[in-house]
Amino acid sequence: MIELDSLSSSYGTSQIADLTHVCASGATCLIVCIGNTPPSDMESFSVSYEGEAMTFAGGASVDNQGDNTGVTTTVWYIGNPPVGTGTVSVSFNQECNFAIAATSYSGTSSANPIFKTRCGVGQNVKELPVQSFLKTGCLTIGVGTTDKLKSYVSELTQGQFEAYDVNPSGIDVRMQGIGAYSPFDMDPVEVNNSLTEVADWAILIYGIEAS
Amino acid sequence: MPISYNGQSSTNAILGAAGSVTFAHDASTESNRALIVGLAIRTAASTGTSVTYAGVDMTRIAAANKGIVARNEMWYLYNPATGTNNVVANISGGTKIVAGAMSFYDVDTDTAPTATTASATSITPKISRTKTADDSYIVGTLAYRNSSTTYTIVSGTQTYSNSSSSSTAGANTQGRGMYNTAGVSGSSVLLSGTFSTSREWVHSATEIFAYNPPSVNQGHVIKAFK
Repeated sequence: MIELDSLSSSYGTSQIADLTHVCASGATCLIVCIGNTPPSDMESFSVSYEGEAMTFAGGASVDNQGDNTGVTTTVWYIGNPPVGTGTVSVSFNQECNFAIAATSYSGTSSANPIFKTRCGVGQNVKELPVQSFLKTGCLTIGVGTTDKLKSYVSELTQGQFEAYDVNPSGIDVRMQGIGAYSPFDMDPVEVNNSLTEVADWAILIYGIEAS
Repeated sequence: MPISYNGQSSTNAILGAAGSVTFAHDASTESNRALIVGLAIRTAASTGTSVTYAGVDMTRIAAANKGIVARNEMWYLYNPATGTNNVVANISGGTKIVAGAMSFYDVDTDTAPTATTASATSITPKISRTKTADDSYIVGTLAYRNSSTTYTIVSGTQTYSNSSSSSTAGANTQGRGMYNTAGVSGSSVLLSGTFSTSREWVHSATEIFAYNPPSVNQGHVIKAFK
C-alpha cells in the first residue's frame, strides 16, 4: 500500500531554487513536481536531492506566442532517498517564477516509482481527458501549472489521496497537484483538471508503482 | 460561389511523454465550412493518434516523414462546429510539436479531400498539385527541422506560422500552413518557399472545392389568355 510520507512546497522567482524536505526512514521514493514560467527547455535544467541527480519522468511545455510567456511542468524522481532533512535543488536555464512540490512515499517501487506519464498543454479553459492507469495498487497523480493567478480546479472521481496547491501571492505561477488511488486493475482512476478562466496550462498525469 | 478563407490559429509545445496539445480555433459561422489541421512533429516516431475539434474526430489525409527528424500530418473536418472551439491533438510519444489550424467556408463538403506529400533536405521546400477545378484552392502544411531557420513563402499565401522552442535550435520543429488560389483546372499549382539554410522538410497538399449551390429551376410562367 502506497502511503504519503511527507509533503513540502516552495515558490519564488530565481534561476536557482532550493526546497527543504524531510524523508522518513520508510520512504521508498521522492517525487518532485515543478511548474515555471517563462517556460524552460526541460532538457536543460536539472534537479537534485542532496546532491544526487533526480531522474526526469515527464514534462510538458507550451509557449504559444513564442514570446516566453508560456509555462512548463515537469516531474522528477529518486528512489530510496536519504533519510532525514535534505535539500531539493533546481537549476533553471533562466530566471523564472516557479512553484515546487516534493512528495515522499512509502510502499512504492524504489527502482522505477513512476511507471507511466501523460501530458497535455493548452491556452484556454481545459478539462484534461480522463486518464486511467490501470494497475493494481498504483497511485495516479495529476499536477498542473498555469502562468497566471487563476483559479485552478482539480476534481477526482474517487477518493482523494493527497493534494497541494502552491499559489504564491503576486507571482504569475500556480501549481496544483491531486491524487487518486487505484485499488484494482479494472477500477479506473480519473483526475480532472479545469481552469475557471483562460490561461496557459501544462498538465501531467503520472502513475506511481507499488512495491 | 467562391471559397473564402476564414482564419488560422496555432500553438507549439514540448511534450515529455505521450500527451495532448490543445488550442482554440474559430471555424466561423458561415456555411459549408472546412477545417484543416497540420501537425509538425520533430520526432518522426511520435505520431498523431487522433485530432478532434469540439470533441468531433477529424480525419487524417496525409502523414509523411523526412528521416527521423521531421514529420508532417494533415487532418480535415467538414462542417466543424461553428464559432470558437478547441482543437485537441493527441500524440503517441514525447516530442516537440507545432499544431496549426486553418478554416475556409463555401467549400464543397460532399467531396472528401485527398492529399499528396513531398519531402527532401534542401533550401527550397515545395509541393505541386494539379488542380481539377477552376475555383478550387490548393491547401498545404509544412513541417521542418530547426527553430532558427527562417522560411519565406514564394508561391501561395501563408496562414499559420509557429515554432517549438528549446535552447537547441536543431532539436525543434517549425510548422506552416498555406493555400494557393491560382490556376485553372489542369494546371499545376505550386506551394513553395525558401529557407535561410538547407533543412529537412515535409510538405502535404490537398485540394478543396468551391460549393456550388444546386441550380434552381426557374420554371416558366404560363399566362392564360381568354
